[in-house]
Amino acid sequence: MSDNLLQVDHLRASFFTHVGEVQAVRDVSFSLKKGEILGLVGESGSGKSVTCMSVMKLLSHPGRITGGAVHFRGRDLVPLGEREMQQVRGNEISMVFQDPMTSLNPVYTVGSQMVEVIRQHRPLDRRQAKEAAIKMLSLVGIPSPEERFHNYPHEFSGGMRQRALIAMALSCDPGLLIADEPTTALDVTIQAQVLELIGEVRERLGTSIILITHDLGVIAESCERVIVMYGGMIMEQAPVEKIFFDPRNPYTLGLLQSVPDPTKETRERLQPIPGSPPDLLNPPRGCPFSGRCRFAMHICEQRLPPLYEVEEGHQSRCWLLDEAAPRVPEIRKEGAKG
Amino acid sequence: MLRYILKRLLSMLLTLFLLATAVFFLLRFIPGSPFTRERTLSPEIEALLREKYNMDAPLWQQYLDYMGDLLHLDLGTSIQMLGVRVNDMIRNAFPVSAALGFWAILLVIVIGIPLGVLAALKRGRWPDYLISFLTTLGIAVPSFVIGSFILYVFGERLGWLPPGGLYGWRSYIGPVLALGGFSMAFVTRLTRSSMLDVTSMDYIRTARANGLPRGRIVFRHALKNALIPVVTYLGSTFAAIITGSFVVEKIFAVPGMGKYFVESINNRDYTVIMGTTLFFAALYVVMVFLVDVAYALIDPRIKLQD
Repeated sequence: MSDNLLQVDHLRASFFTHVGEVQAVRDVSFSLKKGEILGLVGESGSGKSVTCMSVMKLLSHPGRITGGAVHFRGRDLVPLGEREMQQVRGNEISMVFQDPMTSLNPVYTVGSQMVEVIRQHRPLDRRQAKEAAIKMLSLVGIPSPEERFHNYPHEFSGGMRQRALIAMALSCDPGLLIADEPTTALDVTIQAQVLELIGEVRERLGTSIILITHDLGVIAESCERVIVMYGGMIMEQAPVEKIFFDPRNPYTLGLLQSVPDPTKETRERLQPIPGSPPDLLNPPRGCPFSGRCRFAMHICEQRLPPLYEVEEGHQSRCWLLDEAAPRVPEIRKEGAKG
Repeated sequence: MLRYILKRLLSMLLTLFLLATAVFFLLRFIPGSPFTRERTLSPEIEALLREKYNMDAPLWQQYLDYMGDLLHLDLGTSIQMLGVRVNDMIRNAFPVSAALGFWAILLVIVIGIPLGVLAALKRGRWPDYLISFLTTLGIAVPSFVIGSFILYVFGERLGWLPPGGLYGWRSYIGPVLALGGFSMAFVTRLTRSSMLDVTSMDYIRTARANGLPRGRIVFRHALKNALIPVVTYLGSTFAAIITGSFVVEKIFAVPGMGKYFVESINNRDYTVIMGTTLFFAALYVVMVFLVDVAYALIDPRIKLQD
């Protein structure tokens, strides 16, 4: 386990719908060090949220974990019961979600919801819990927290609600914060503030962070290491600068080429990735991206490529990295943007 | 707040005034009169009766007289039942209906809501199916069938319940079940679907992600939100239940108010129709007001201001 805070091994999760088993997460392994900030990117349905929901064991019927292990601080969470997980959630691992507008209960004050969480995990009385909550609110940058404590969620703006949710998630000083698209529902200026806050939190509290997003800009701005997911699998894993300047997977490349680069003056058209994600009810035998990949070879449809170690800390799932594969020089050329 | 209450009070009075006016005139358009009998009265006698009940005056005069009395909360005298004042009639019958209604409402709240929560929690498993089956029965089977069934099986056959009337707590069981059955079933279904809606809300996921125990999530976070539509339904239902039901009172021989609603219309007993309608309407608008107050108590986003 070494110094890894979180170690996910061969995690699998499926949704058992009446048309069959939808394999949302297929053999995902990764690890996270203490104080590290990891980005999880991929388009909708790539399995990034389900992976994190599985880490917290929050998948609800008909979804469940079908295999693998999730070691947190050396303890496997997968076999734990609901009661034990309750002590982990909000206490050791916390999560904030996409839509702050609807993520707070409208009928209770923000303060009382925070106090409830704190008292759930800490042996504090009402007054002490209130003090702790107010301290958290001020830490996340909510002005006049003593008064705001008594406000209802509808009296907060979207950005403030996300701050309050982050405060609530951090109120018991968890080792890991999972942020599932925390800025998607916010406007751009507020997005930047919330990301900045998440970065600050890591520095001040030493919390490890997993940031789920489909926004590469968010990744570039705040992450150290990036995992690119597709079709329920890890396609590429690398330090952030490698992902942007030396991507080794056609899918990562496709993602990079489908967003505008503001530093370039060219009037080049953006290149969307043609086609749609694979059907996880009947996942393809080969590489999940093979159907949309412009470099796809015969083998790509036949066999799933392994994760090749490109260099220390940089892995990519692509047959092109095999020794026997033909060289494709333009991948590197086009990938080396800027 | 005071300003709001005054405003609401005023609008309630206006509602009642408009209603009284509309009913008053509509009644006179019903074919026939209180004196229509199988055996026709002689013209002299009918003229005398009309005079006695102020029905020989022009319609607008009758209206003004009636409204004048109404200002003093005087609902007049029954035309069919000699010398019985409508006020007394309501004063005697309403407590009987209200006593039954009270227990029926209690049944709706104390059984209906928890059953709905239970069904939602056990969604797709046997308790849910059982509750769903029972509530479908409760909604589909009319009260007179439920009433007759209870009376026959538990009264006649098994002898557990008295055959009718209101003597002792046992005699309440039948009429209360018949009276509250439909609403209880309806509230159960409403609570169930509302709970299921709320359980898929983001804030429930937040509560789970923060490690709150399931019981707390269900009863503190979900239920309070889920009750909003239930409260809406309960408000109007209270008014209806508490004023009694013709059918249930008939079956169980209960001297409540329900029968006056129906009999007065059959008899074209103008004053009794007016009296019972206005009484019901007054209760109804008060209930609607209370529902609004309850909203504000449940949901902080709703403010009782103009």
